[in-house]
Amino acid sequence: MSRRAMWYGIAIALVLLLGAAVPMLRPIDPAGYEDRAVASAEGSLSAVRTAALLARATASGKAFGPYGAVVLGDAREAVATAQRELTTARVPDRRSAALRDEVEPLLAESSAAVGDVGYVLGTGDRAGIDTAAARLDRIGDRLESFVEAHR
Amino acid sequence: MTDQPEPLRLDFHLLDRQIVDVDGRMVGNVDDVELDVDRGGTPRVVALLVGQAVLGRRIGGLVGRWLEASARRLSPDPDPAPIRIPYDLVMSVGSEIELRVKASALGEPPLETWLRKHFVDRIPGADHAGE
Amino acid sequence: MKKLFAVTLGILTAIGGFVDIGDIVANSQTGARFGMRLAWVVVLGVGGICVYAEMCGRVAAVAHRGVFDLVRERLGPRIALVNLLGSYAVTMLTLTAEIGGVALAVELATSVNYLLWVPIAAFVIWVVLWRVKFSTLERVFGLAGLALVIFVIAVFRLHPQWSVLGHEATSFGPSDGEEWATYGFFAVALFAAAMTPYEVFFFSSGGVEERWTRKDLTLSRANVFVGFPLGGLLSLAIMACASLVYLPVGAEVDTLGQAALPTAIAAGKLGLALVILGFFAATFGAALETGLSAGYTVAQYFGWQWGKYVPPRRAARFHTVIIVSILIGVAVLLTTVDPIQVTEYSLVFSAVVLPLTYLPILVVANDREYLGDQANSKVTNVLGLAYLVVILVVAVAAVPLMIVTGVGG
Repeated sequence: MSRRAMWYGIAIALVLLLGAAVPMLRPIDPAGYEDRAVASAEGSLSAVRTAALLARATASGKAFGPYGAVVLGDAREAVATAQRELTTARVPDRRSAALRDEVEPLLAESSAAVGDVGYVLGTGDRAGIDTAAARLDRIGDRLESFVEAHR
Repeated sequence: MTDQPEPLRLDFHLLDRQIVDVDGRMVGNVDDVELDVDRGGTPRVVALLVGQAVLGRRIGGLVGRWLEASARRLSPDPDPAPIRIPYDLVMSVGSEIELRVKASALGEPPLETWLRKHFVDRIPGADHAGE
Repeated sequence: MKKLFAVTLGILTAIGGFVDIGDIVANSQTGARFGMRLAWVVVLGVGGICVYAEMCGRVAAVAHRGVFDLVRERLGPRIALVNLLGSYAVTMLTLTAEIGGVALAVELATSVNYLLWVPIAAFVIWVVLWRVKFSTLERVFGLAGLALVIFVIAVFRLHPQWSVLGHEATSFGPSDGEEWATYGFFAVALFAAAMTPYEVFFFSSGGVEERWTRKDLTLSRANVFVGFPLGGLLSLAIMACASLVYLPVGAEVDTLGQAALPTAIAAGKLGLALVILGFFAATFGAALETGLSAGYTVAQYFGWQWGKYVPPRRAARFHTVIIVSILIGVAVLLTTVDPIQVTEYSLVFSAVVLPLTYLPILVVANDREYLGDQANSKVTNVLGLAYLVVILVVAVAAVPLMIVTGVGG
């Protein structure tokens, strides 16, 4: 490898680095904020749907405790990540603020609903589990409408 | 007498070939060769050289220099010498280069020795082939 | 009779050993987002690995050498060094992902946080590599991996509308609401999962470890042409299960736990137990294979003694490379990076390195000096070249697609 090849290599590396850095350094614009909001909603949607599927499976005796605990733990983390990604994004304009006002309560409800599934499953109360799963379904549907509306 | 193809082409038949000993154990790759010019002006192969530093020198360029430098760092000796295999120890030159002798008769690469003494041998079961 | 047994065992091992964490993640994620629309990529990838693994097996059986052993001889030390650096880096990344996968699988069974399992899993992996006979290691984990057949059973128990699945599988292009770039990215990931480089390093060196000769050519081909496609079927079953459970509700798969859920829904606690066992066996087996492959690639370039068929003290450098590689993997995982993310990155970079891996195989398998009458036929070469074109396209597209879609986001 000659010196010239080395300089080419360094040049390419710099270009790649800049290419990766520039998007990160740009301030977030309204379209970018909308993408963030949709991504958060999608993340929460996956968590909520998974929790509902797990709740019903556990109620039917199809899943065991440790596995269910891991899946719910992952779901709670997913909702928390979704919330954090939305909160840490700077709100660029009023329309984006309105978007946030729409999504944040959904995320908060997701967090509560997923969080509750854990102890409800522990009680073994079939009716309680069905109610919890239905609540998750409703929140999921609302999240799904939001995502569809803003694709 | 060495069983080798005629004419013997260094780059094709010798360089970068795997060297195995009489038992089939791997000795190393031919990283370089040592040539000598006889009275008639014909070059002959005197020895095969095995060593990372030697390989680095042959490859040359930035990559080769890096190989050489790391060979020096990985060796307990300040100036690692390659393993030199006199050509008359070569039994045949084919898809592998077979030697007449056991690998233990040649020098062992210092890195292998060092790692075996200070590391691998200390782990229980190191002499077990798991066979 | 004994030969039939050996062949059957080989096939079963190949099926169970085909799937690793990359396949599990890629097929689950793709199923949840695109249904069966990318099933054709799995078929394409399986075809590719069959063509090339057959070449590697042939080289092992006839020339008694690993393919990468021969790369330096045929393509020269410089090209081989570039090849080595790329192959080793990707194998290391894959090894890290597999160790992470083992830890995640054990977490699913115990609910103890996966980070605690990472060093334990790595240690056990190393002990097995150190002590256990090569063929035993392959058989046990290959056969245990057959537990993943539960995915096939689960597909049927989920009562799919076959016409819908069929329609999806034969449509080309993303579903509504998904972009072409994302479609392309997942296609790249799936293809890379099916043709992961370590599979061929391992298959070719493994043939030498098992002392294959010309008589084993049939065994090698049976493993490849029967075992791998059936393994591909397991991959498709994973995709189908994810599509049947997650696609209708708009959820995406980001965790190993989610990948296992469809089987629980379809087959209850027994199904769940089998799937977790299957995940464990697949990732543990793959960790063993990638660990060994890391050693093979480095040792074969420099000509060091390699292999489990000699005592470790006769191959100190080879075993040191393996140990160091495992330790690096553990260190990376202990930074708490998500193992699923590591898997995704390992797939992208596998895609980039694919040409480096596969082109030399095509070159070596054509060499009459090593293979004599068993060198590639015209048909094999046509297929090999065709796949090489696909591989190049995938390699070039991989990183841009990763950047544009934000790693499939």
